[in-house]
Amino acid sequence: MSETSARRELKGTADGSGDSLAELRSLLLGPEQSRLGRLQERLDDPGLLAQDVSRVLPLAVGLSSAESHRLQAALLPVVQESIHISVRKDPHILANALFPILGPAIRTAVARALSAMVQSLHSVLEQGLSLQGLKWRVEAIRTGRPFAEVVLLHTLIYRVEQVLLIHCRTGLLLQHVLHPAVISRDPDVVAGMLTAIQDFVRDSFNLQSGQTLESFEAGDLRVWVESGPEAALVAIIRGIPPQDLRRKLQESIESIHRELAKDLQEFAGDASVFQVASFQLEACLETQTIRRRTTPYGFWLLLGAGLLALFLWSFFSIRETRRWTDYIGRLKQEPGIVLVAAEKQRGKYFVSGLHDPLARHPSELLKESGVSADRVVSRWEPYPSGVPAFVLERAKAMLAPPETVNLSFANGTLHLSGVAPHGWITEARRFARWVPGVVRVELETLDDLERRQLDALKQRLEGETVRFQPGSSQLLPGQARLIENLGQELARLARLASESGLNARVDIFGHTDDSGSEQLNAQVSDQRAAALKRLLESSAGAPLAMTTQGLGSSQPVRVGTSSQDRAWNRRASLRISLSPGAGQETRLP
Amino acid sequence: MIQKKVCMLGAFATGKTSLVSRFVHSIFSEKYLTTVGVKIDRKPMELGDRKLLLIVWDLHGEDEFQKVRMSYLRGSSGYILVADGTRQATLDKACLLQQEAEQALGHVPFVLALNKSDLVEEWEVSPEAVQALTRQGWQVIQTSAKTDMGVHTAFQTLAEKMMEVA
Repeated sequence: MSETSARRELKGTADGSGDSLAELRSLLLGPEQSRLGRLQERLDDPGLLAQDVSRVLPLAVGLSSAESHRLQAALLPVVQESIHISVRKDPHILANALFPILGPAIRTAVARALSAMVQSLHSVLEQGLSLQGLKWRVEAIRTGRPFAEVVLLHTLIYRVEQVLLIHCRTGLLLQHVLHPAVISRDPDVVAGMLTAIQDFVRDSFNLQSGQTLESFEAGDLRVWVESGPEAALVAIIRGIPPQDLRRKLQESIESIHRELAKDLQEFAGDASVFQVASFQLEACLETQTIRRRTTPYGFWLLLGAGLLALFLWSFFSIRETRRWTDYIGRLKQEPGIVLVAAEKQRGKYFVSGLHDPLARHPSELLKESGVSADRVVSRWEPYPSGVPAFVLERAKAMLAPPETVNLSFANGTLHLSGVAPHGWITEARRFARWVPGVVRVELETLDDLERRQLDALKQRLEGETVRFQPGSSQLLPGQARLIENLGQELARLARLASESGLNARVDIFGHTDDSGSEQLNAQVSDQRAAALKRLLESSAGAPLAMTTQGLGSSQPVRVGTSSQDRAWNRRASLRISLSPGAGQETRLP
Repeated sequence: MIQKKVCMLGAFATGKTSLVSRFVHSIFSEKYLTTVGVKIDRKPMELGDRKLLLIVWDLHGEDEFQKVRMSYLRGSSGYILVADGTRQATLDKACLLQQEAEQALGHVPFVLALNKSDLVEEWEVSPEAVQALTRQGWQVIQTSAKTDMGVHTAFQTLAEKMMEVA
């Protein structure tokens, strides 16, 4: 109210007593009345009121949220209903609003699920291959539980399976949360029974007010009770929980009492208001499992042993295969061995083929290759190989040539060279072609030993000259030794010719110088040949065909007329003829 | 859903447990009664469009060896007194128990189930005595756990009374 209007009021009051009171009031309370009027106006006007509330609403909501969850609980049905209406009206609005968060949310959920699966798989793998794991697997089969659950139960340090918020006075269940893996049976009845047990203990043991049963356990299950004045928090725990959990329960029940004190006191059966406490209850659903950092030695040992066994098996297997391949290669390359079949059956090797007795024996090759002999079943048939070295070897073994004979073999032809006794040559000629592998026999360069001796003897004998006195068949003195040698040589000739199957004939020629008549010379030369024949026959002592012929002076050994020339021409000489004997081959070298 | 705790009170062998077992499917065995002295069951009910969950505390019947643990009554929204029509003493006991319950709980709704009505010809309890109780404002319901007679009615009546109070 302004100052001018106040003065107007004062003037009005002075005009009459009835108005004076009003004027006085106006004077005294004018500003307040004006303010009250304005306040009333703001309260009555929904538009103004909304403006005022909108100014403080954010602050009020913030304060309320910080203090408790009651605002959220109060707004919950409104929000739910609003969402419901919105979806019914136009689902796209909510869908569009949710779209940006759906993707990340789904990804997060999938990642979590995968992570859990990997963790579970890891755990199952880790435990599944150990001795312990096998025991647990048996337990899983026996109890009909999933293996992962059995593993979890054994590796669990503790797990808060259920948390119940129980109204102390009535024993009614206010709120209840449980672990996803746990199945709960009638938690409201359990709440009642727990309360009854509390009462029972309190009555039975005369506990003072405020004293409660704080925990009890059965097997690996523990029940921890954290009581407040109005409500109690009961945690059903499997395993051994740490003391921190007790502190957490205490803090939770305190917080619940702080936030919901009035609701707890006035509780008459409607537990829906306590839904807000489920956040705190869920925070108590803890799980802690044993982090098995230690490697399952059994598994590694088993794996190691398996790998070692595999390595050894591979090593020995590869080595055996390589040795076997080596053996087969050797067999194929070895002269005188023909491999017909090689195979492996049920861990044994079977090998068969042809083997030249002159070649190296396959057992030697087997030994060299290192293949275990008792794993190999061999069947070798003997055969004559066409390998030149073996043909030659075989020919030597069959013909037994003397040292003076050289044997060589090429292109199916057996070459014999050198010198050999006639008898051996005859045998060799007969048998050499029967040596396996020999197609032809070449003996052109092989000399007959006896024949060579005969020829030498023949040459020597035919070179000898028996000299006579002039005009007579009397030998010049000093030739008795010569005659004796000739006799011996002829005897030897007869023997060698006989051994060689030859017939030897000795032609004795008498000669004269050119002095005297031709007739006389012919006569003297005849006499000289005959004289020598007689001498030789008596000296040789062997039957030898001998002929005599006087050649006069027609074949002088020295052409000339000197006495020395003539003395040399008074002589007798021999000519030896060798011809094949009866039954002898004509084809002699 | 509204939850209410109700107690079954009565002398020994009046048929409380039989009444409860007629009314609910129990998950706990009866040995709780003789050990802890109470057996608790749940029974969801519908009163018109309102859903109600009764948590029924079946208290061990009082006899010369064991008294009812009155601490179990605490927080009850109502109770059912059970008496055996064939034994007058059980009705007397029910009256005593009602007084004790009233002391412990104050004025909360209750009904009297006069059990064994299938044996009505053997009853010791006179109709006059029953009428006297009804005149006092007691709700008396004749029940038979054997024939199921009145069992549901007893619980239904108590439920309705409790909801009226609420």
